[in-house]
This record gives sequence, C-alpha cells and structure tokens, in this order.
Amino acid sequence: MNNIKGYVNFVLHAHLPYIHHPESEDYLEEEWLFEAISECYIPLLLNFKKLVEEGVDFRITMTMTPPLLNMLDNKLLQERYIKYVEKHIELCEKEVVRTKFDDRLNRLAHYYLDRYSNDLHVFKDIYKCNLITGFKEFLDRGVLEIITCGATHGFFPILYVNEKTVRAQIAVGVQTYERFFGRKPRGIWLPECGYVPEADKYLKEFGIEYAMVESHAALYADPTPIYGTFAPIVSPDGLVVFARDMESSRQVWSSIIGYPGDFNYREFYRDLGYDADYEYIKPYIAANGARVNTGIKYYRITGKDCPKDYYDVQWAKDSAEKQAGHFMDCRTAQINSLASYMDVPPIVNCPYDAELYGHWWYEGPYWLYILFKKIYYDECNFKLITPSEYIDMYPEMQVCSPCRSTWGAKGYNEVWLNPTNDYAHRHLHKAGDRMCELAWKFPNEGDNLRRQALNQCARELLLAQSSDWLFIITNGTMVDYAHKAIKDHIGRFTKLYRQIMKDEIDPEYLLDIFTKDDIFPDIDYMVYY
Amino acid sequence: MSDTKEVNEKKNNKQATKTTKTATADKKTTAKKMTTTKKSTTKKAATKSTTAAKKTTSSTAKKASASTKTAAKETTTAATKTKKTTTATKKTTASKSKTTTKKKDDVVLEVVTPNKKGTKKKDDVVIEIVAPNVVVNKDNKKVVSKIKVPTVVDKSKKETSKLNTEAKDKTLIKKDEETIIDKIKNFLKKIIEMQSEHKADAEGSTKEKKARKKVSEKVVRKPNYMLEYYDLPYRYNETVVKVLAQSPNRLFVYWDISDNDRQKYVETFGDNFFNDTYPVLLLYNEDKNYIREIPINDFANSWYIDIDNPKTKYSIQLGRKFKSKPEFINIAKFEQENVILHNDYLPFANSNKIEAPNDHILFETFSNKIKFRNVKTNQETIKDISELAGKISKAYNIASFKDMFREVYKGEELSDDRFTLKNPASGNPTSSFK
Repeated sequence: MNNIKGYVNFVLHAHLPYIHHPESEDYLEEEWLFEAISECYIPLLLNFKKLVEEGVDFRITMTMTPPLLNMLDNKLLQERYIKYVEKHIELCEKEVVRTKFDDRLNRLAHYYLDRYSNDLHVFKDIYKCNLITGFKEFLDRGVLEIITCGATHGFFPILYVNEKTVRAQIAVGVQTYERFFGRKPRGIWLPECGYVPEADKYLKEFGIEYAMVESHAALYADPTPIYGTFAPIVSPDGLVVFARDMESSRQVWSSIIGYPGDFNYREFYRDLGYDADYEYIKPYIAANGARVNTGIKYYRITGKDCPKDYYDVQWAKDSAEKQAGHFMDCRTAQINSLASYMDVPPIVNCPYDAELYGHWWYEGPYWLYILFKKIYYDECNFKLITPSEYIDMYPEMQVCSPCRSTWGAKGYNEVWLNPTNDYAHRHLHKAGDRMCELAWKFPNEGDNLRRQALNQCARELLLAQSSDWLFIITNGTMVDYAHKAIKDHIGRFTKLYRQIMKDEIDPEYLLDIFTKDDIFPDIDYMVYY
Repeated sequence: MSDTKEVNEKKNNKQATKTTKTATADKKTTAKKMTTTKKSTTKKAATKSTTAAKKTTSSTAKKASASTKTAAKETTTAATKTKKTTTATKKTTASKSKTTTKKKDDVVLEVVTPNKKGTKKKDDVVIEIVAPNVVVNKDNKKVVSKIKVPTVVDKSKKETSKLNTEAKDKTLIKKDEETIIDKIKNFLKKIIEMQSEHKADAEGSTKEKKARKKVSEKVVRKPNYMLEYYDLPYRYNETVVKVLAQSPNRLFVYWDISDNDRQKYVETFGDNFFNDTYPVLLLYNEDKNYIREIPINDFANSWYIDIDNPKTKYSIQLGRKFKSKPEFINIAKFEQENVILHNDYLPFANSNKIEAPNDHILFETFSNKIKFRNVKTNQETIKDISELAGKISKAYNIASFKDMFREVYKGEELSDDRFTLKNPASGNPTSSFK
C-alpha cells in the first residue's frame, strides 16, 4: 500500500505554572488554566476521541507537566473551573438575546453557547472533573504518549550550578508522572528545551531514555550529526535527543507565514471582553473592573490592515482542511528528499506549545484532527510515530554531544537571564544550597513536624524555581505577579529554613503555607540529599 | 440550565451587597479545610463542612470584590498593548485557625511519605496518626493509636504503606492523594491544638483555658489565611562568586563579599582599604589558557562579560587591585587570614567553572568514521560512512559533507557555518497574527 519512507513526530508541550490561591478568588492568573481547559485540553480530547471512534490510527506525544497535573487534579481549581464555565454560559445566553437581530452574530452566539455548554458537560459528566483520566485513556490505548518534565519547569542551564537541584527537579517530575499514570515515563521535555550535558546522568538515573531539544542542539552538536535533525542522536552519557525540525515549525508557528494567520481564522484580539459595552460586560471581566479576554470572539482576521469581518465557522474549517493538506504535502516532499540521503528512515520532529492548539490558534485542534485523518487515509509516504516507537525500531544512532541550547528567543539563555530578571538567580541558588544543607543536616528525619517542614521547604524551593516567572518578567506581561511569586516562595522557604535551623517550627504558619502551596503532597525532601 | 437559573437568582441577591465579598462556602471534603473570608460574613459553611465528602457547589458564593488585583489577563506572550496593570494588595485576613477535634479516639491519621528509604524514626519523638481507610501494614492490620504529646515516647512503630504508585485505578490514586493532603493538614492541626493546650496548661488558669477554647472555637468558624509579605534580602553576607552563560558570547557573574572577609582586609591593610582599591574580575579561559582583566566598580554586585570563545570553559576570579601602593600592611594577618598579594592584586574568591555554549556547526569535527551506539544493547560500533546506505555514504571528507549538509538544509539561511535560527521561540506564537 503506502511505501513508508519516514515518520513525523508531533509533540505538544502542555504546561502552566502552578497557580493556586485558596485564599482569594481574585487572581486572574488562575484563569490561564480555565482558558486552557476550555480552548485547548477539552478540544484536544474531543478530537482524539473522534479519531478513535472513526477508526483512525494516529500517534501523538504530549508533555503534561507536574504543575499542570497537580492543578488539573486539584479540587478547588476544578470547582473554580466549573464556575468559570457557568459564567460563560450565562454570558452566552445573554449574547444570544442581544444579537437576535443580526443573523450571523446570532449564529455565532449560539455556537459559543453550545461550546461552553458542551465544555461543562464534558468536564463534569464525562471526565468527572478530572481531565487527567481522559488523557490517560488515550495513553492506555497506545495512540498518545505522555512524557514528563521538570518538577516545576525549572530552568536547568541556570540551576545546574548546584546539580542537586536539577536532580531534584527531575526526580520529582518523574515521581509525579508515576503517581498519575501508574508507570515510568520514557521521555522528558526538558524545561524550555534547556539542554545541559550535566543533567544526562540524572535523567538516566531516573529511567529517562529521551528528551526533546531545539534544532541547534543537534545541528551544533559535537561531532556534527550526519543526519542533522532527522534522526535522533545519543549523548555520551546515554541520553537520546530528538531535535526540532525547522521547516515544519515555521509553517505552523511563524508569525509571518504560519498557518494561524489565515484570514478566515478567528481574530484573537477582538474579544467580547473588550468590545462589549462596559456595564453589560462588567460581571464577566476582572473583579476590579479591568477588561479581560472572555474567549468569545466574533471576528475573523480578514486581512492585514482592514476592518474585521464576522467569523464563519465553516470557512475557518475549510481553511484548516486546506492547510492540513498543505502540511501533509510538505512533509511528504521533505521526507522523499531526505530518505535518499539516509541509512534509516528520517523522522521529522514537530514540537509545539500545546497552548498554540486552541488558545492562540483557535482552529488548531481541528487542523490536527483533519491532518491525522489525511495521513491515515490519503497517499503519503510517512506515518505518525512516537519517539519511543522510533527508538524501539531504530535503536542504533550516532553518538554526539548535543549543544547547550534552549528553544527560547535567540536560542540560548537570554530570556531567563537578562537585566530584568537576573536579580533572582542568587536567591534561587542560595535557596537551593540551603535546601541541600537542610537535607544533610536532618537526614531521614523522624520527627514528623520537622519532616513536614522540610518537605514544605522543598515545595517552596521548587515553586520558586519555575522558569515561568523569569519568562513572564522578560516578556512584560503579569510582571508583578511573577515578581511576587518569586518573593513569596523564596520568602516562605527562608522563613521556614530559619525556623527549622532554630528548631522553632510554627505549625500554624506551616499549615497556612501548605494549604496555599500543596503541590506534590507526597514529596520527600531527601531528594536533595 | 438549572445551574444558571440559580446563578441568576444569586446574582440578584448579590447586587444588593456589591461591596462586600461573600465568603465561599466550604468546598472540600474534610472538616478541617480552611476557607477564605473577605469581609465579615457568616461562616455557616464551616459547621457544614465537618461532614465529609460533600462538595457544596460554589454557586452560593459570588464575587463582588472590593479588592483589586492585577488586571492584565494576557498570557505570557501576547503583546501588552491595551491592558492596564494595577498591582493590588491582597486582602486576606490573617488569623490563626484552631481546630475542633471531632474525630473519634480510634480514628487517627498517619503521614505517609512513599519514597522513604530506610527511614529511622527516632524513639523519643514520634507522632503517629493512622488513616482509617488506608492499609497500614502488610498484614492488613489497621493501626490504632492515640495521639501523643510530642515529648512522650511512642513505641509503636508500624510500617507505613507506600503510596501505590503502580495503581492502575485512577480513582484509587485520586483518593490517596486527597487523603495525603488532608492527612498532612490534620496532622498539623493536631500539633497546633496540642501546642495551644500546652500553653494553656503552662499558664495554669482554667478560666483562661476556657476563654481560649472559646476563642479558638470562634476562630474555627472563621478560618483565615495569613497575610504574608516578603522582600528578597539585599544580600546573604557571604563571599560568593557565580558565573552563568547567557549566550555563546556573553557571561553573567554575580558576587558578594562577606563582612568578615571585608574586615579581614581592613585589618590587614587599614581602614581605607576599600577606597584604596578597586574591584576586578579576572576572566580565565581554561581551554585557551588566557586571563583577561575586567575592571568593575563597587556599585555593582553583578556584571555581564562579553567573551570571544564559545564552547570553551571559563571561570572567574573576583579580586581587588591597589590604585597605589599600600602604606600600611599587617604582616601577621597575611598568614593568619590567608591573604594573598601578587604585586598590586589581591585574589578574593573563585567562581564555579562553566562551559560557554557553542554557536556554529562543527564541520571540523567531521570524520568519515562514524561512532554509533545501539541504545538497547549499549554496544558501540564504528562504521565507515561509505558503508551506510543512502547518499550520505558519498560524504568522504569535510568539504563533501558540508555540501551535502547545505543541500539538505537549502531552505535555511546558513552562512559562516551558522544558521539564522528562525524557529519560533517558545511561548511566543501568534501575537502578530493580525
């Protein structure tokens, strides 16, 4: 039938920083999770479901990072999500009434009402408020490979000054994965694809076979891989890395030529939260009255600099289908030409932020669904594959030392180390050193209270190390929240550190911060020993 | 749509109390979970919450907050064009929460740490509380023991059951995790209660005890979160130098000199030491074996250094140089405090070693003997490139390999063995799609 000459490996990196505020309902940042659930995770699950029901065989890999898993599993956040959706349903109902004299708008209002109602149904009734079960079903089925990540997405190229902190990020990441999925992860998404060779040994220690890295991790490796990014390489310490393909990543993601810029697609920046009359929309935006995105958008991109036309669901679908065809044709051509060079079938690695599919690019999940169907049914010379499967089929690979790199802007560490955020690193390093000091000073602690305090120190340190704070500060969005997060977690860590060293642990304080930062409930601080 | 109807009803009620925030009803399963309060509201939920496992719907609570929070809701990468950010102060009230012990005597909780390796419990400080619905030891016996005061010796050392990480049943995993968080919380609450009882005992007066209990009971009905505010310390008062790589061409160094060390130099050279000297960074390239001196100033505690040799190892030494020869030197201190002086330069502290990242294709490393490893068997083989199938077998030297490489990547901008990396950066997607 089809002459398979190569493979395509889709990886969606689903991550959000751990944002959990039982003490207040006013943190807008919590809505990142709710938006992601409505616009990204539920649509992905529904599209996977459709593919399975239609008998389409496919493969896709997803990172589900520990903070995301902890949040999806968190009762408080699940309840708050339901509130979020119910509010949206209420707004949509109002919109249906408000737009009844405009046919096209009214159709869209109904469309959003249906979508949010369906979200509620899927979330509550089908997945019983826990989407992790949904992803696990596809994992068990063998169509979805789930990989892990650093415990709190800590940035290894800066943390590795104290190698134990990198080891702990890996250990807790793997442990969290095991807790939720009942098996060991074979692969990891290095946070921000931040590759440092010093981490390899710890990855191997915890059973990780492979990692996803940026293109130049392979292209600038030592020696230069003979197959560039089109076959995995193995580092001297035994870590297999799959490097991003440049052509396919630009096709999907480029702000200039990328698919999401199609004129029929939904315009992200025309949101009801900003467009609607203030008094009308007030109950549905920020508690302090500031306008925010609601997710209800009625316009399409339409053109470069022109008035926006209404969004049309069918036109958008048509564009998605066309682009799915284009993507497939491009990969076919690419693999055709590559296969003639190589001794093994080429693999084209296509990693993306999961958020791209549904949140930034609304039609993304549908595009993915159509693409996977096409790959299965149409004539093409490749199949979808997971990294694990490729390793199992072609375990012999060139030994090269990957280049220290990231997938951040400019390819190295600038995003996480620049004058806007470089103040943080001495504090993160100091806290890391102190955590190791605590583990050495109180090994295998028998006193339960002190052990709880030590474990909480570990939690606070991990939360402080989240690369998201540094990223947010550089990009200038929600900067105050990020600064505060670093201060709070380092502050809590330091206060607790002092209490432990003086043997004056305040259980009320400990209870308070544990209630706020209850991630990794079963963590063992000895991971820093 | 009954949910929304209820919501509408509540909304009407809410409008009347727009400026007060109604507390969220207790949503969690256990009695002891603290909930938030904003302004004064009744906490009937707290008593309701002592019954386990009922998730009260959050529709009874509506937001109408007087507190302000940061406004902009763009996620990390969107352009921050139209949003105003207002920083807000959290209005969580700080108040200590006490618990009412409603648990029966034989229901106790144990804190489980599943990945313990050879935990040695000290004999003299053990508090064990065992959960009723968790298998405690391998013999399937439920361990029941009373709560003991921290200083009392507890002889019972039961084996704790590890959290079953192999559990395939998702609901089982969920339950365990829920139990762990609650277990820890309940444990801490018990400690708090015991400590406050201790305090009351110490103070002796039964009247006070009763009053305290009353207060604590009252407080239980209104549990609050502590108000926290933290600033990062300006310094940690220790001598440290750390170097990090920002890119193949730039390093970042931060440092500090402890007060003790400063004092040491002042005692050796006199009070004007820090005025008579200026700080320098010595940049040492281990692979190319050179040192570059970078004068800096005392207003900085970090610095960016441009470097010329990617993919080489660097380290930094922090030191000071005399502007002019020192007049006073305490020789005794030299030996005592291990002060080193090279002409006019004093080394203070050394940094860690780092390797700057590489920034180009290493064509010079090409060899037609290719090392392969089978990752399943770990067996390594060296193959001559001509043995391989495909056009790659024709790459017999650097020049031909280069040509082939360029051919494969002809769609990319490649000059001087460097790609113009046009990959979309992480988290920076369609912000320009307009």
